[in-house]
Formats: sequence, structure tokens, C-alpha cells
Amino acid sequence: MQRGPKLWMPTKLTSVATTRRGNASFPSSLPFFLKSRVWQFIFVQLTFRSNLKPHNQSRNHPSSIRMGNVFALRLASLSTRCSPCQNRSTSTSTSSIINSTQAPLSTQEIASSSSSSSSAALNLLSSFSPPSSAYVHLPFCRRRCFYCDFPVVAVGERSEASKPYYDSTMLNYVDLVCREISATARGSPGGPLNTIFFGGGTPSLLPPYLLHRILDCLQSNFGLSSQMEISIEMDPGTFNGASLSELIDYGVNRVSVGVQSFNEKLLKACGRAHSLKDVYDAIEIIHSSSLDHWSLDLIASLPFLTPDLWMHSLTEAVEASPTHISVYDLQIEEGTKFGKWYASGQHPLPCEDDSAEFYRTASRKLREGGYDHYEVSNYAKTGYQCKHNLVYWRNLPYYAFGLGSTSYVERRRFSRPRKMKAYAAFVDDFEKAEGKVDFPEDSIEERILDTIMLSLRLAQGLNLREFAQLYGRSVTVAFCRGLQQFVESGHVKLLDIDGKDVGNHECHERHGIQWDVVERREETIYMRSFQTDPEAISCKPLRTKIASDWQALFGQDLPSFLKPDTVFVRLSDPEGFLLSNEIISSLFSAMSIVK
Amino acid sequence: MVVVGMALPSTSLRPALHELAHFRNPAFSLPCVLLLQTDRNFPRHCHTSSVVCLAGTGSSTFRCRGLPPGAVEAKEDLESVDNRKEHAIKNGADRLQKVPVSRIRNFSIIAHIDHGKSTLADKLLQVTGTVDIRDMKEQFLDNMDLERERGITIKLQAARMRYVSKDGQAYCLNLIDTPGHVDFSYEVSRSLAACEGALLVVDASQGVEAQTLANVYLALENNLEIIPVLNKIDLPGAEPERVCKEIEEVVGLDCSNAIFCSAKEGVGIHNILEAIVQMVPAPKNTTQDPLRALIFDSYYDPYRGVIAYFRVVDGILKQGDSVQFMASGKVYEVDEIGVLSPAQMPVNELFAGEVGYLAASIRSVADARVGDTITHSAKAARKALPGYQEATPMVFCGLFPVDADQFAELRDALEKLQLNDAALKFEPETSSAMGFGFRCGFLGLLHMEIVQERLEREYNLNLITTAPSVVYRVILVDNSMVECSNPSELPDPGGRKEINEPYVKIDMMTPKDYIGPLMELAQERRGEFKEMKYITENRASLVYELPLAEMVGDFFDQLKSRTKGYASMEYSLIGYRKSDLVKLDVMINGECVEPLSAIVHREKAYSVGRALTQKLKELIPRQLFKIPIQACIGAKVIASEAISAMRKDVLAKCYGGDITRKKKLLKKQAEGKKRMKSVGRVEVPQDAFMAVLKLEKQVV
Repeated sequence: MQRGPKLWMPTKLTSVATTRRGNASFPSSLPFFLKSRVWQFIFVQLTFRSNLKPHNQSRNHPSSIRMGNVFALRLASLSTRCSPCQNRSTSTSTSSIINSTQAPLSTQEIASSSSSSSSAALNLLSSFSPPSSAYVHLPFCRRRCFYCDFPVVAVGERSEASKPYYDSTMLNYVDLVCREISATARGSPGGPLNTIFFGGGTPSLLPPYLLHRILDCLQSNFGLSSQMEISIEMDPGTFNGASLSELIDYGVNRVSVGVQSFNEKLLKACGRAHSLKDVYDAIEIIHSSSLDHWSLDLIASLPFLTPDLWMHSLTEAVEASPTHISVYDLQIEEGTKFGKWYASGQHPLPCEDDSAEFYRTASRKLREGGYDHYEVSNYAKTGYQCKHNLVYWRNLPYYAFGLGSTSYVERRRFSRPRKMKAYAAFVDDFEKAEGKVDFPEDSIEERILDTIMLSLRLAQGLNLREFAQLYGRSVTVAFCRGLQQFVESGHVKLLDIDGKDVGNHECHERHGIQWDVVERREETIYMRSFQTDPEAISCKPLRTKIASDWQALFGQDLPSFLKPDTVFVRLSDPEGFLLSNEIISSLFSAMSIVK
Repeated sequence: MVVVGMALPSTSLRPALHELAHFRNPAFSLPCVLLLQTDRNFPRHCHTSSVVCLAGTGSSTFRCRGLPPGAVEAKEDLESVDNRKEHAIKNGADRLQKVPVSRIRNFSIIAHIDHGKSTLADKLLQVTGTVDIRDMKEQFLDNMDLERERGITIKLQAARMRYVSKDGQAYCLNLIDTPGHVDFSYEVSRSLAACEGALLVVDASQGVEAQTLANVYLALENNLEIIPVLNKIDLPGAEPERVCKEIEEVVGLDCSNAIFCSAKEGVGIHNILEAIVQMVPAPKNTTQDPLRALIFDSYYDPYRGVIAYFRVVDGILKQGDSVQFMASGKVYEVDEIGVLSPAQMPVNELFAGEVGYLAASIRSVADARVGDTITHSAKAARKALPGYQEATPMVFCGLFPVDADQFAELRDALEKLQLNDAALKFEPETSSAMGFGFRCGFLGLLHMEIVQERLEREYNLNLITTAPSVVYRVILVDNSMVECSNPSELPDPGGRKEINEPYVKIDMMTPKDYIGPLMELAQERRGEFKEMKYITENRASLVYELPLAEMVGDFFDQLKSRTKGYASMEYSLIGYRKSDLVKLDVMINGECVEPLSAIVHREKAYSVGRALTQKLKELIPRQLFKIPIQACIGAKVIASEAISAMRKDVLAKCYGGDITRKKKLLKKQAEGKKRMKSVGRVEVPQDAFMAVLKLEKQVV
């Protein structure tokens, strides 16, 4: 924390922690900084874990374990894999904490114990703390879709003749990935992993046993948490009931099906390797499996798309009743076939007006269907947000393995080579370097931009209080200046502590935000004392505190739009989301003045 | 530089070349190689030799300067008797030899643009041995990059040559090269004042053009002896006899002695030199009078201060003399004097009639202005020489740095340019859209273009220029008059009684086939027909009077394109006339954008307004809200367009958590915004301003 920027509200983690948990068996012989480090680490892991926890555990996740146990588990693993700077005595002291905290702690208590300082600590440390998410890129595809510019290896249809080629190519690749995983674990140890995402390419082309190998490798190098989300992207026509249940056996518990469209002609037009029948078959296979959590992916604004066809796709998507729906907008990238054939906004691509209408329709239709629009292009039933993607959007660290993938470890965003040969060479060097990459750390400016760009994708928006704490006054003033016009135009909305529109207490619409207990951090804790009286939650003391904090921060520069109880800023749905690029780039440009 | 091999034009040269090849002093690796054909007998080791051997093309002299005495001086006779005297000229040093005043000839070359003036100057320098063949390049005197690139002369240049005429006497010839374009006629007038004679070069295929006439009149005003020279007689279309007749008819100049030449082919050059010696009068011998020297050009040298080019009219100027500049009254001691040949060559003294330069550690160009008279401080002349009329700018435009940080650099650059370019005027200007910049006055459009280009090129500036405008005279209701060249300074309609605008008389010469299109053009530009006459059977001269504002646009381009390049023009300012002018404002989202305002004739306001709004619609990116773009006269909207609101710009998926690519794009988008100027809530890209300004140049 000492390394962070000057904080607006000075926080003393250690002192608060000890006073709150005054009776904790904290060896007084421990040096000060170690105490704080240990506690920070614990809090971070705790808060982070609960971030990823669905809102209503008991209903949606019968399998989820009680928070206290998680805590114990987490600390247990911590004690076995101490960071190198912690000496023996630290480990033992950590173990003693486990003993003392194991049984009686309830979620609420943990939250309370994390104290008002935890939010700052969380964000400052989050990118320093070891990742507990991993992305694995599996680049194989039967063919390259016309819009695709991802690092992909086209391997054609699997047949008897092509089988040996198929298997050896994939085997070699999986070997490379496993070597990279092991080297990474040596260079930047972390885990245990809470989320793993197999993306591609078409990961479902990989024989399940190879996927198992990667999972094994991840487990042995990082450990897997018991509440793991393991996602895999699957394309219709590349899996059957047997292969799916095999994957489920290996621990896969979330599947993302690349349907893209419910129209045969459109599928053809964008070069997908599967047919409409494959789509329905895939849905059938998933329904008849034990899988609880799956996502259906659509692409909006494909060439030849009409409002009717789009409505049909959306209806069918809702009909298929996945727990999660992603609606990605078609991007015309240079170097793709579409890039060669089509120009944005020109026939056969839908015009800008139509395309905007498609986005609005999706937002309306899917929300009507019971999905929360929790991110620019993602919709989920309550409790089924994609935990892995949330890691990206919350600017938390994650590992990445495989061709062309990008990791965020120790504040370094590192992209791997996009060509197989170069990637193989990279893995060789990486092993020699004992899993370290020589790459600069992100500067504070970059992190500010990351925070803006990522949190504004989310319906939950950007926590302006936290932002101010982390980055200080001048940055916040500049940011608010940039926001002004968009608040006025209605593209940006201000939310209070409960995620409700500020200044509109009548409106209880929560914008699809699910508030985890600890998500609200200091405010939550502050509110605990009023929890006996639900009416009191929106009572004066809290609001007065927020308002006075704003006043203290901005002084004369208090933006006129900033209502006293503003905590979050978000893009409005759908109009703000629709112009997210424009708005965020304007904010970027507003931030450039600060430097 | 490497000599790979060569076929020797004559076997007699072989020993010399061997010597060359053995000579390996790297100190004189020279800039030019001409290789013909490999000679197997040529020593192998010469392949890496740094020695350069030169071979002439037009002339047969092979020369190697810098070699030990006697190393190489090979010569071969190819040409006629004309060349016989050439051997007398060995190197540049003899040009410094004094000749009596009676054998000094000061002359300049006047011509319409592209009639071959610079080529002829090149040939004169070459034939008289002033410039080594090796150093020779085309347009030798045009040493600005821009001049060479465009094939035009901008700055006058001087060159002293030594010529041994047929009578066996050595003469000192001072050539003062001048620009041909009408914009630079002030430069022409300056150089003419320093001469006694002029070569009138006329293209033997094109005949008399507008600027031929204009320059001839300038020369006649200065009482110069004019020698008609018909150039380009080697061209298949050359009709020297017809053109001679044309000159006699149009200019009224006796062409019986006209010289036919081809500067390119080197035909008739000696005849020209002889004619100069014979026909151009020698300067008056006034060596005994008190010193009077006329400064015809000056420039600033960072090491030696202001360098003034002058012509000694009376008396003698010696190095170390204490001189006074009569207009400024400043006294300086002369550090260095010399002649221009065309490089500066120091000498000890300069007599009446000679042309030279001086350096006297003068810190400010204002102290040694062009047109000022230099005299001795001890023995001052009584009366200064008549100076030059200061050039008055005719065309104005705003110059703004694209990057606001470059304002100071722009100011410095303009100041430096002004040292060399007396006609350039500027004053600071502020514009809400473009920040700080300068309003600059120019002699004409070419001048404007040249200055802009020199600023961008020589000073590495990135500039936005507003549409060129002229100086209007506004009569206010109280009958007082204000001058205004900037639409934003135009007094309110309520306060003004009338607006007067400058008019020019324009003289166009064209083959008769294009009379129709030219009349149409002039008519479109509010031209008033004055006169038409046939110069010859096939060529006509058209005289119109039209507002200068109409001419500062693309009039010249149009003239050229409508006549397939055959017509030429010349103009002169004839005064101010009352016009029905209005201020056309552009409103973006209800806010007036000053830099886009223009003063236009009421009848043209509609078409200009429509063109402006349409262009802006194309160029302003869509924004969060609908933006009306209007062109108005006062409160009355005469043209209107609207940019519909932006519909969709959704942040794309960050695939596999790779936010870096997306962030790069966002940053780029943000960078683009920084380059926009805010007009109220609307962000207008710099490009839009520039494109509109360009458009204004075309349609206004």
C-alpha cells in the first residue's frame, strides 16, 4: 500500500484490522509489515472470492460451500504456498489464524472484519496479488470464419485420413501449453484457480483427454479451488452427449455454445462450419446433460441480417433457455474475408441505424426474457454471470496460456506470439527464463485508463469513490469533467450505493446489478449498523457521509452533475452502451490532460 | 566515389587518366562521375579510388580541379570558332580582375515564366567559365529547393562573369537573374534598377505573353537597353520570324537585331554575349564622386549579420571603409566586400558600376533595407538614390500552426523569412477555432503559396491557412473609413454604409480559340469587359476589370485549364470600388464559427453557402446529437444541412481478456478527439477547417 498513489482518505489497514479483531491471536513479535501483508493477502483473497460468488447461494448453488469453510480452505492453501518473502514464522502464524477463525466466522463477520480500508487495499493489491484465473487458448478450428481475426489454426474436418495429423498437431500444442503452464508456475506462482476458460478457436475440437491433461497440469501447478468455474467454448457440430459428459466428468461446468445465428443462410454467409440443425442438436445435447450453466453466443449485425431474422434469433435463443447469453457485435476487422468484402454500414451489412436497433432489440428482448444486461454484450440469469469474464472486467489479474493469448500477471499485460512457430520459440525461451518475461509493468496512467474502459463495460459501472481513493483528486476531477456532457445527454447514469439511480429513490430498478455482500465494501460495512431497520439503509448518515466526502475531495471543483449520494457511474442501457466506444474514448481524451 | 571504368574520348587523355587513378588523396572526392564504357586497359586498382574524373557533355573540356599542378588539363576542340576564346578562361580567379568601367556591363534577363530565362542564365555562366561544368546543374542560380523543384525563380540572383569578346578585350558582365512570375515583379523592378540593359527572352514558339509585356514596360521605365532574344529555336514548333513580328507589333521593339538562340542546345550564346558587350551601355564613370551604392537585395546570415547586395552607382567602396546607410542613418564598418560570381568572392574594392555584396556585422535587416543608399560616413553623398517603392501586399490570409505549441516557432520563421522577403507582411491574429497565428500579406497567390511552402519545408512547421482575402474598405455611417481584411473584423451591418473592394485590371493573352472560355471565366468572376484586340491573326488580348477578391481564388488555375495552358495573364491594381458585399457566417449547432466566415458578393452567397455546408456535413463526424450546419447572412439562413446523431459505436468484445488491442483503438480514437476543435458542444476536426478553407479558395 505504501507503494500506491497518495490516497485521498488515509487508511490504516493493520490498525483497523487489529482493533476489529482485537482478540485474534496475532503474534506481537511479527514485524509490522508482515502483519499487514498477511492481512492484506487474506482480505484480498476473501473479497475476491466473494465477488465471484453468486448472489443467492442457497437457491442457485446448492453445491456451494459455506463461506467459513472457503476461508479456511483458502488459508490452508496459503499456508502451504507462502510467497518467498514470508519466513517460517509467518507461515506458522498464519496457521494459527486459521485455527482461530475457522469455525465461527460468518460471511457477515468476514465482511465486517475487512473494514473500511479493504476496498482500497483490494484494488491496490489486486493486480499485485497472484492470479486465480486462467485463460487457455485452443486455436484449432475446422475452418476460419469469414469475420475471424483471432489466432486460429484451421485443421479441416476430422476424418480417418486426417486423424493422425489432427492428433499429432493437437498433442504437440497441448505439450507446449503444459510446458508454458509449468514454467509460469515457477516464475509467477499463484492460484488456486477459481476460474478457467478454454477459448479458441474451437476448443471442443480438442479430444477431451487432451483437455483433461491441461486441467491436470493446471491443478498440479496452481491448485484448483473447490468452487471452480471451468468454461469451455463449444461449436455446434463438434461435440456429442458422450464427449460433453466426459468433459463434465473432468470438471467442466460451464459451456459457451457458439450458435451465432438461428438462420441457415446467415450461418453460411459468415462462413460458420456448422448448420442450423447442428445448433438445435447442440442445444438438445446440453439440455439432456447434467450441465447447469451454459451460455448461448450470438453475433449481431451479420451481413444480410434483417430485423425479422434478428427477432427470430433472439426468440430462439430465449427459447433455448440458457443461463447466459452473449450478443457480440460483428466487428469488421482488417485482413479478414469480411474486411475484404464489406464496408461497415454498407449492404449487405446492416446500416448503422438498423444495427443500433438490433442492439436495442436484443437488450429489450433479453431483459424481458429474464436476463440481466450485466455487461455491454453479455446477459445472464441471476447468479449466472460469467465469473471468468468478470475477472477481466474488474481489472483483476489472470494467467493466460497458448497461442496469441494475453495475460495480466504482476501488472504486466503480456501478449504471446500469434504464430505457432513463434509461440513454440517463446515457450522455449520462457522455460529458459524460468517463467519470467522481461516486460514493463503497466504505469499508473495505463491502469487508470484500464479501470475506466473495463468498469464502464459493466452495468455495475465504475465506483467513483474507489476511483477517487485510488487515483486522487486531479484524476477524478478530469474524469468528472469528461463525464459531464454524457451525464447531461443521459448516456451516463449516476447510481447510489444500492445501484439505484441517484435522486430517484422511487425508482427501484437496479439495472441488473447483483450486489455481492462485499462488493459494496466500505459502504456495506457502514450500513451494517442500520440493517435492523430496512428503512434506515437509505437514511441520512450514510448519504451525508458520501456527500461530505465529495465535498472534501472536490471543494470548489465539485461537478454540478454529481449528486451527493453518487457512488457509481455507468453507461445507460441501451443508449450509453450503444455509444460506449465514443464515450470511453472521450473520457480517455479528457484524462490525457492530467498527464 | 568510385570510378569503374571509362572509354576515353581520345587516346591522348589516357596518360592523364592513369595519373588520376593513381592519385588517391581523399581530400577531394568530388561530386560527379560520368562513366562511359569500361576500358580493359584501365588499372584495376582504380576501382576503389576516391578520385573522380569528370567528363563534360556540352563542352569538350576535361578538367580535374585540385590535382597537383599539371596533373590533368585536357582539352579537345569540338566546336566552332566561337569557342576559340574559351581557353583564356582558366578558373574563377580572373573574374576578380578589374576592368575599366567602360568594360563593365550590367544586365538582367526578363521573360515570361517558362520562356527559358534560367536555362539561358545557366548557359551564360557555363560558356564564360564562371561555373565549372562539373559544378553545373540546371537552374544554377535558383538555389532554393523550392525554386528548383517548381522550375521557377523566386529570388533574384547576381553573377559576375568575365568575357573576352571578339575585339580581344576582357569584359566584366554582371548578370542579375530575376523571377518571371507576376507576383514577383517587385523583385524584377529592383534588379532592373541596378542594370543598364536587359535581355528580353521570348519563346520562339509561344510568342509574346502577358508577363513579357509587363516586364518590358518595367525595363523601359528604367531606361534599359533591351536586346530581344528568341529562345528555343531548336523546337519543332519554333517560328522565330513570326514571333519577331509579334514583338515588333505588340511591344514596339525593333527586332532586326534579334538574336536567335537555343539555350538548351547552346546555340547562339556567344552572339548574345557579344550583343551584351556591343549594345548594353557601360555604366557612367563616376568613380570620383562620393560613394553611392544602391542595395537591391539583402539577407540575414547568422554568422556575418546582414549581407547586402548592392550596385555601386558612384565612387569606390573599399574593405574597412566606414559606411552610412542613408535612410536609417546607421554607420557600420565594412568587414568584407566582394562580388557574386555567383558564389561570394571577397575583393578589396568595388568601383562605380560594379555589383557586389558587403558584410558589416549588421544585426537588423531594418538597418540595411533594400532600396537604401550606402555612402561613406566621412564623405557622404548629398542625395540618396531613388529607392524602390515598397511592395504592398495584395492578398491576405491567416496562417495558424496546427499544433498550438508551434506559435513561437512560426513567429521566428516569419521574421526570418521577412529578412529575405521584403514584401511579406504579418501581424498576430487570434482565432477562436485555430488559436494564435498570424494574418499575413502577400504580393499574390504564388507568393502566398511559396511562403507557406517555405515555412513548412524550411522551418518544419505544420500550418493551416485560411482562405485568401483582400483588404476591404468599409465606409461607416459617420463616413469614416476602416480597412478590413478579416471577415471577423467587419463592422456590423448597422454601422456600415458601404463596402469597397479592390479592383484589378487584368490583361489576358490567348490564342483566339479560347476567347470564349476566357470571357466566360471573367464574367463568372464579376468581371467587367473593357477591351479586346487581336495582337496577331491568331492571338488576342482581353482586358477586364474585376474584383481582386475574385482573382485571388483559383482564377489563374482556371485560366490555364480553360485554355489548355495557352493563355497568360497579368494584372495591376486599379483602385477601390463599391460592391454589394455581405458577410457569410457559418453556424455549427447554432454557434457561429468565425474562421469559416467569408465576405462574399450577395449574388454568390447562396452557392458558396451551400457548398460550405455540404462540405462540412461530409467532414464533421457524427456526434451524440443532431448537429445543424447553417450558412447565414446576418440572421437569415441561406443554406442548411444537418448531421444526424451517431447511432452506434459499441465497445467490442475483449477476446480472451486481450484488452490491449481494444485499448489501442480507443486511444487512437481519443487522440483524434484531441485534434478536434470544440465549437460549442460540437467537435470539429482540424481537417474540416482546412478542407473548407480550400473549398473557399475555389468557390469564393
